[in-house]
Amino acid sequence: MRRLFVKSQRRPKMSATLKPYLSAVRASLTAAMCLENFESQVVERHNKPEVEVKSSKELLLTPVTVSRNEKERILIESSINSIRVSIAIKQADEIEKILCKKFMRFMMQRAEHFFILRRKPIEGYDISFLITNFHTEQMYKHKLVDFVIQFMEEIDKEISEMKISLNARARIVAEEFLKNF
Amino acid sequence: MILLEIKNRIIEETLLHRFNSPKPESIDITVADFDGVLYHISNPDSDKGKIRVSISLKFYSDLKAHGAEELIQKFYGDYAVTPEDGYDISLQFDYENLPANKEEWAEKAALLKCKCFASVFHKYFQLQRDGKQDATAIIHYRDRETMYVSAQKDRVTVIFSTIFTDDDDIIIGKVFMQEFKEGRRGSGTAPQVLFSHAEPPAELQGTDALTGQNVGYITFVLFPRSFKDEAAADKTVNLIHTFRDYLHYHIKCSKAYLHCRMRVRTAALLKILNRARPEIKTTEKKTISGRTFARK
Amino acid sequence: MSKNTLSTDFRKVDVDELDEEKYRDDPETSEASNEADQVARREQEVKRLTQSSNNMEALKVCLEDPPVSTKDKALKERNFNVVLDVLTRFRAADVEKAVKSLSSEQVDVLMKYIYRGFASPTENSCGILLSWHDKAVTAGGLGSIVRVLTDRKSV
Repeated sequence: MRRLFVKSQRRPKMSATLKPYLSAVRASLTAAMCLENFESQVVERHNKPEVEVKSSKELLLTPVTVSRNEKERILIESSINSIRVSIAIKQADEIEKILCKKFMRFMMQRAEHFFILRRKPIEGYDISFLITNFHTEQMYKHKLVDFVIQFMEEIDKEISEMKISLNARARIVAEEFLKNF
Repeated sequence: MILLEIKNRIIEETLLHRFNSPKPESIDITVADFDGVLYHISNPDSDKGKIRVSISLKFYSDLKAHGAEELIQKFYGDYAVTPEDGYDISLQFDYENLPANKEEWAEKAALLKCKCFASVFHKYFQLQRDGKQDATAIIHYRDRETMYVSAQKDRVTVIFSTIFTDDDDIIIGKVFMQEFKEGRRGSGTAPQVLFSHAEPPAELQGTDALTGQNVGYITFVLFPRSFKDEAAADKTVNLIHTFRDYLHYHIKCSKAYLHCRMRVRTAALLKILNRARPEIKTTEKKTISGRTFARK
Repeated sequence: MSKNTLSTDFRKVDVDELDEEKYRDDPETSEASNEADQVARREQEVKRLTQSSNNMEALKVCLEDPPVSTKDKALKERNFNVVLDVLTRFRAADVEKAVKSLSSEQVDVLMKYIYRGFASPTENSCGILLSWHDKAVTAGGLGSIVRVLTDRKSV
């Protein structure tokens, strides 16, 4: 009985707002991912992501947010040659909080493999991506968008699965110990 | 392996190996165990014919006050000898005059640490049976971590204080303790388990019990049925004295497991990202004469 | 040597400021009082229309002349609340029809309001805004999002 319960929890019901949320994110990202090569106006022979250096206001676009609720949201800041996508992941309780923290830390330590991952999230968010024109030149734009969308889906799923497995483990450990008395 | 072994396997195997070897061999090894316990197996006075197993516990003086020595004497009989320098208890076996049942004695020697702990519990179980009470026993089984045992009219309570060195351990520990609290429902004979975080339970108010965000207190309430006879008491002691290590061991296992999952998931995500790179087409072309060449 | 050359003040002149190509945001015109009136008037109008449950007309009134030139945050907030209120009044099934009846300029303004709503999420506004967003993208295409990104006149 209990096992059944765990199993049914493992497939969380697709919440009503998830699909529209992801499609809104997809549309916003596709619109924002319009980048071109742009060399620094300040330093010769420098080519920096303008969204990071913010050297001039004319190169930056209005940042937009897409929110699913107060906790889950995504911030898209765009500029002429780069966009920064920051994701806030839902963390319902302190277990999800530490799982999210650990997971994001784990990924960001491997940022060099992830090309587009920023080593540090911007404040108020859990993880940030920095996509520059060099990335969009080397990779398919629509697939980059796909990646971000899939990333958001998988992270949510993974965190809830990890939480469930942690609980299941704790239960087995406790039962086994107490059974032996 | 869900439950931890209470005997020290290294000790057991090493001894058995020496007992069964055709001629006496020299030996000198030091083995560590949980709770800062050190074992030392050696030949006293470089005499290969004798094997000595010594144990050092930082908190032996605490145990001694509760009759550890008598229990060791009773359990190991003549094999318990004057302790080696720097150690608390020593057992000595003579190669020429080995006990008849070697396996049993190797195992017994490996239970040395467990037996040291047992003395305290047995004393308080007896006190409860006799309806007597005594001051709470305080065993400083690790630096800054303490075990309290006390006998009441109808039960014996064992309280562990434990330190979570990592902030995340506290949270994972809480999940585990929650299950321990509820786990009693699954088994009628299990003792009641209580958990308090940061603040010591009411019984320990006024003692030097630590407080703080990373301190946890676990209380086991043992009713007489848990130690109604020798076998039940032994079982209870064996389980309960490993509890702290059991908890921390499984917290670490969980973390390792989570880490594995993250690794797998990260690899999967990387794969998805790499799909975004256009594949370089390697079309094979043929020359008119039928030879092929790969376009670079 | 003349005494003047000892002066170092010239070093502190920000020459970039004098550059003709230096980019400046469009100067904001101050019609604050004018816009305040407008917002107040709109509030009344929308109230009247919603009371007679004419949501469609109310939406159109909302999307006219957004107060983009004022710097008064409170005024914008007040205006936005009127719009959000209208958006929440629509039933999910009517959203698509409502968006279809809008001109492309109105869809662009609507998109701005939607993103503004996302920036300050509340308990139940997100779900509604998400469905509006979906329909607005269908009607206005990615262009309407791009126009939100590039326009500096915030609502």
